[in-house]
Amino acid sequence: MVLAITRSVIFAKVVVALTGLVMVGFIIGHTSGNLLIFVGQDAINTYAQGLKDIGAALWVVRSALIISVVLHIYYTLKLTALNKAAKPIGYKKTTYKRSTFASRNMTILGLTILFFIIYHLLHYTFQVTHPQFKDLQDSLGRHDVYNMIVAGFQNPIICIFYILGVLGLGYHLRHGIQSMIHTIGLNSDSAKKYSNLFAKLITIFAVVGLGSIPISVLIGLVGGK
Amino acid sequence: MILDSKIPEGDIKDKWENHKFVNKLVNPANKRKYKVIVVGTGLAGAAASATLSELGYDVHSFTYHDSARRAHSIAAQGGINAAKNYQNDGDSVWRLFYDTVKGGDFRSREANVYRLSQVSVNIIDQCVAQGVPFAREYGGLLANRSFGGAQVSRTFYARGQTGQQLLLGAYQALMKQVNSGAVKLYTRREMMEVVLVNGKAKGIIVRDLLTGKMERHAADAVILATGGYGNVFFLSTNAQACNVTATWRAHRKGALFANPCYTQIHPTCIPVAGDYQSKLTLMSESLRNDGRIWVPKKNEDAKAIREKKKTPEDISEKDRDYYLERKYPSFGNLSPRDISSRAAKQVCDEGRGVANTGYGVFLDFRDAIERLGKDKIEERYGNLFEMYERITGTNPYKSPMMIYPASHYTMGGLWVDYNLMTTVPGLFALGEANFSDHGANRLGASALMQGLADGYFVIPYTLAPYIAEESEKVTTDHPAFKEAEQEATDRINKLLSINGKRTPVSFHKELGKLMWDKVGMGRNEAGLLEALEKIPQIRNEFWQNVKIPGSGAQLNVALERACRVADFLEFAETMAYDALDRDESCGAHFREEHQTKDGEAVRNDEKYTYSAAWEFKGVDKKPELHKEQLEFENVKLAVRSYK
Amino acid sequence: MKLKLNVWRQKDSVTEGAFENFNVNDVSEHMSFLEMLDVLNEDLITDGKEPVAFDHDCREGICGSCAMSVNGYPHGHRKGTTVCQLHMREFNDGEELWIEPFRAKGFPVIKDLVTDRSAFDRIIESGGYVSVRTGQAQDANSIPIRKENADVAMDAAACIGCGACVAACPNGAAMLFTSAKINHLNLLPQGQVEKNERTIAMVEQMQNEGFGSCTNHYECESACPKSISINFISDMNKAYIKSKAFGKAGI
Repeated sequence: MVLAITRSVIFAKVVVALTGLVMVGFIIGHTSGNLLIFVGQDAINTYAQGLKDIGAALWVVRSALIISVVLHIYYTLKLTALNKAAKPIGYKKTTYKRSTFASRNMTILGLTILFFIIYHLLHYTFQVTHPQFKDLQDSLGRHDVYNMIVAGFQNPIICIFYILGVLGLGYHLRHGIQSMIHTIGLNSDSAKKYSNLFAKLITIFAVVGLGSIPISVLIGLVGGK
Repeated sequence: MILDSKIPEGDIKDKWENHKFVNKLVNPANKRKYKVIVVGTGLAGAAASATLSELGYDVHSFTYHDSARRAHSIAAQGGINAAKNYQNDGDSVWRLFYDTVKGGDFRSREANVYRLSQVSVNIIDQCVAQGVPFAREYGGLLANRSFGGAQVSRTFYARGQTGQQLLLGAYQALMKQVNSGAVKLYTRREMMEVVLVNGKAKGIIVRDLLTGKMERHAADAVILATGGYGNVFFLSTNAQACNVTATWRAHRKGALFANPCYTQIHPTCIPVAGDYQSKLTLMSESLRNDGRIWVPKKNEDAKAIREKKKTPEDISEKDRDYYLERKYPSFGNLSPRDISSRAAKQVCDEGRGVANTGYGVFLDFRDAIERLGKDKIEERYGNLFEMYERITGTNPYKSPMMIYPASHYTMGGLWVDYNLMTTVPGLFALGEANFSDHGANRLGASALMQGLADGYFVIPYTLAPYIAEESEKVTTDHPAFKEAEQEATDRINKLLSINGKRTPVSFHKELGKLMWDKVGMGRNEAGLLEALEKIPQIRNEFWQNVKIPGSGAQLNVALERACRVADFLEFAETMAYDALDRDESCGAHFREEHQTKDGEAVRNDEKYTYSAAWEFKGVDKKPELHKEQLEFENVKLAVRSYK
Repeated sequence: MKLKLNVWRQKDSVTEGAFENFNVNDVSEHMSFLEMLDVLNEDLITDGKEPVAFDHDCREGICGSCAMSVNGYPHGHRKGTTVCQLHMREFNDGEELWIEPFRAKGFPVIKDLVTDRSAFDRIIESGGYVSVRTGQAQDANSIPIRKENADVAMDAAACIGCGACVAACPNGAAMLFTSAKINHLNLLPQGQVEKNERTIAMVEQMQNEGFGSCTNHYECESACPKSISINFISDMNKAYIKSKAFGKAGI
């Protein structure tokens, strides 16, 4: 029985890898942009306004991102169900040699990140949780992203939630990036060495970069009087 | 009974070609109407199944393993010989033929050996085409090495896993045919009986090892490729399941058993460590290229080492006896398998053996490490040293290895004619299961060659003449099937009903020890007579006192073992009779009465230039000897000398 | 030394199994793990109890028959070793061991520690060969093969088909086994001709047998008694997508 390519597990794995790549690209961009908060209010507000001004093109990028997220989740859940079914009984003593916390919990980490992203969108992007953010404007009449972030991180519980979300993202990235490179077939010994390094660097960049913002706000390094 | 070997007429170089031409063929359209049963999926069996089905026969293939890839051919390490002469070192079909006849100590059939040498070149071609990853040189062509003391480099190899790679090649060819529907493969089936109708083999009875059900299978011809009987010694390098049952059951139905006393002992195995030992592990013979074999000169030193009061390093150079170098100065540590093995036994019998049992000699790399450096030794033997350390817990870079000979391969087997047909028409035997090509001693790297030759290149031609002339078709409804099935069922029920006190393995161990002591490396009349007296006693006790828990209607490992041990207990007696009859020393058969002053084997060509084929006369009855006289027209009878 | 064994006992494929406890004394450090079980079985038979059923044959780590997990590790914890070559000196006096069959949906239990691994045969059957008939071959040296390729093909071909990769994989995936055979043959000129068909057929047979898929835990590589590299999985993925997308064009 010949399978349609879309029903094959390898196809599913490759889709997860490639959509993951799109998201890694987004995270690098998003982190870089947000780090402008350390440059100052004007820098980050200019950047935010710039993004808005792209207009339709931004929506193309966003659509690609949304499609990636949907496909990534759809195929991951499909594979997870298949993999669970393939191992109905585990061992009495569960012992591992090479697998890691991250590799064993990719799905749950992914779902945690999804939950976090949904909150994050409601929090800052659509400002549903804090409708007052809509009215923040800076001296040039732009949306004051800087003060929105500062205000948003005044609540330590929200900050802790963000930090946990970022840590989850870190674990997910650490295993995901390396897996992605392996899955799409870059596997020479030197490629493996670089992929490992690459995964580590991006993970550190994203975790430190994104995690530093709520911490800095909380300790008053950013937005402090 | 007159044994007609059916050797074709003509010059030895033309016999096979002539034979292939003269043989009747089977019309391609008719081949699928002929059903052929192949028992065993090792090199010979898998190769035969694949090839015969490619020709169009309806092939049904049986194995007791869970997969056709597990047969013990897989464990062969060293390599496979072929007269390719890729090294330009003077090899030829004739030289391989000559070496094999001489190596077999002039107890093999010239025509068969010549054919084996001829087809050896096709085997390598075939295997490479299948994707067997043989070792290669930097230019991309095949690498060769010299093996087992041969003076030409004609051995092809795939790391230390040549048997595995060749078997996987044959297994893949078989699975290709299974996929196309040309072969029906039955796994976890043990052959219990051969079914004869009007004196011809027309099928088999097998037991499904998972359900215990007996199954009847009818066919136009039955091929046994079921390996050797080395496990008659209990401890051997054979796999646990290797057994004599299929060939012995065929023997009981009229197939003569030839030269059972020719059992090869391999000199470099890890010694026995304790009573619980289940098998002996072979260490590649290549270790003898750099290792030096010795035992202490003084018995008290050996005793002290056995009792761990001294270490090998405590024995000074002048107190060491490098006995192979001393006795065989030109070949030294590389002396042939039988000679090295017997020399080890001799020094141990003198009380100079090491290892806690007293049966072990040192294989020492101290000098080689000094001369070549540890890195070089590691490069050459690293994986073997690691394996040794894993098994014994001793680091061979620091302390010498201990080795001792162990049963390894059996040259004897079902008697077959030039067509590989046994004395039962329609019943064929291939590979180690037959007696055909190695005479009294097999050369290194020749077992794989013979198994594949029989399966790929001989049986496809020699089956046709029988099939072409045989017209009687039978089905499993024939009374002979019912009878054979009943026989097998009764045997199982009998075994299950005994409910005695001893386990099947305990009988196997008892038999094995007796055979090793009296019918092993060195044999003499008194010992053989003693064995002939004791074997029936063990057998009688077995049938009164064996205990097998569980039922016959499920997977029952104790029952499987008991069935095999029961057949070994009958076979062992024939083996001892054969060793007693052959009142000479030749190849691997060493009668202590026939040796020179220096302990060399002495052949008696006048009286014993024959293959001894034994006819079953009933349990507890002496089998009847039939002789096939051997003619040596091309290789002159000569004394082997390795001095 | 003494050991406390918890051995999985299961009458047949349909009956539910459970652990049975045995105390074994007088275990010698020189015994192999299977010899330790042999001694236990001899005692069980003598007492009229059914011995523990387990697959085994060559006992030198090459036939791939033996298959059991010790403390959750297929073939035990020692790297690059089959359980038949695992010796008791690797364990401590008084240790408690959990001995289970290989666990995966693709390997249903037949009895005690014996599992049905015939799915592997069906994967090979689907395409794990070169379609050459006996007698068709040309001279063995007529096609030179780059030594490096032959060596990597041999690395892959070293697979003994034991199933430890599946047993170790948290997803019950058979990708290491399947990719080893695909790569062994695809790397050689003799196997190139049918590369696309082979890769597709074997991968899809693997999937149809109910094995899971790789999520890069790398447990298979560390459990493999022949230390077969996970690089082969990566190559298989690439080959599959290529074959599926462009295979018909003969690329």
